[in-house]
Amino acid sequence: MIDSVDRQIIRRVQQGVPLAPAPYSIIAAEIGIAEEELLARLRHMKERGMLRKMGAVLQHHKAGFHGNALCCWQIPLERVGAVSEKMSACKYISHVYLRKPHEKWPYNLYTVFHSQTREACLALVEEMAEIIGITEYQVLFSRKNWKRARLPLLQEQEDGVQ
Amino acid sequence: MQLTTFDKQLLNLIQSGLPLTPAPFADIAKQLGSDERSVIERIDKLQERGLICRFGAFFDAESLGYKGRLVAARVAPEQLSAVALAINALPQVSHNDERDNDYNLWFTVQSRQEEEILRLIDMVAQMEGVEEVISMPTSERFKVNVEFQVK
Repeated sequence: MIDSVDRQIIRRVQQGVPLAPAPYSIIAAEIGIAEEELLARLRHMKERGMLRKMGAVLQHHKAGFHGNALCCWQIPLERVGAVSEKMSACKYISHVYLRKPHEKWPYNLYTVFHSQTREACLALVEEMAEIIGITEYQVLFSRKNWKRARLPLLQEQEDGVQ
Repeated sequence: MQLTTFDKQLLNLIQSGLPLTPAPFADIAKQLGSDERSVIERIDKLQERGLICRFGAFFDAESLGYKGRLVAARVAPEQLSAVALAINALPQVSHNDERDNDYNLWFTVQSRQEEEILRLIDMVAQMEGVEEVISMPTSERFKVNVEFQVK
């Protein structure tokens, strides 16, 4: 599905894009391929959904988003498709995941809501709860963020482990 | 940092994506009625000020064979910092947050090996102060798009 050149590209481009007029030509030279090949491979990965995006992610507090909550919902299985579609279409929701619930934590749909303040964020969650008619949910605000990092993907191959 | 209208437009554009073209910053500049050099300098400045936390490629971990789990732990308050720091040190953990709930520490684990995920969770469960650990494996990702429209 992906070859060793793709793996090299993935490892390199997730570290960042150089702020230079021809950034892809710099990366291509580092990897030892032509710029056109790099761009073609990246476009192909993008088409297949493997590359989600090439671009920036903002620090949400500095961008003015201070209300960020993990909301866990208990959605009947037959409604998961429609509800997740509705939530995915919302600009203020960044993540929509289906998870296997735990007997002590019976929520199956996990979403992250963002707004300028906690109050505004909570209002968005309550509004959504009303629209979808779900009363079983939990809103978990972060009291302290200990870590927010991107996992360096496919690093293990460098050590020769498959 | 006071953001100008240009900054906001620029941030919104580069959040939705840098073009996969030979001169992507010149293409962005064209859309903003600016020039390549100003765009590059401004992105550099916004990055330096900490507004942009990452500027690069974001891959879908699942299509690269990764599995993930959300883990919730109930940790004794006096041990919470020590446990949180120990979890932070695990490279397979991407997010780790203290949250207002009985389960007061929530983190995500990703690996291409399910056994590795289970081993890590088990290790956390053995840490001093950890009273209970539950985990919810990902079965489907409907959306991952961290984009904050700057107005």
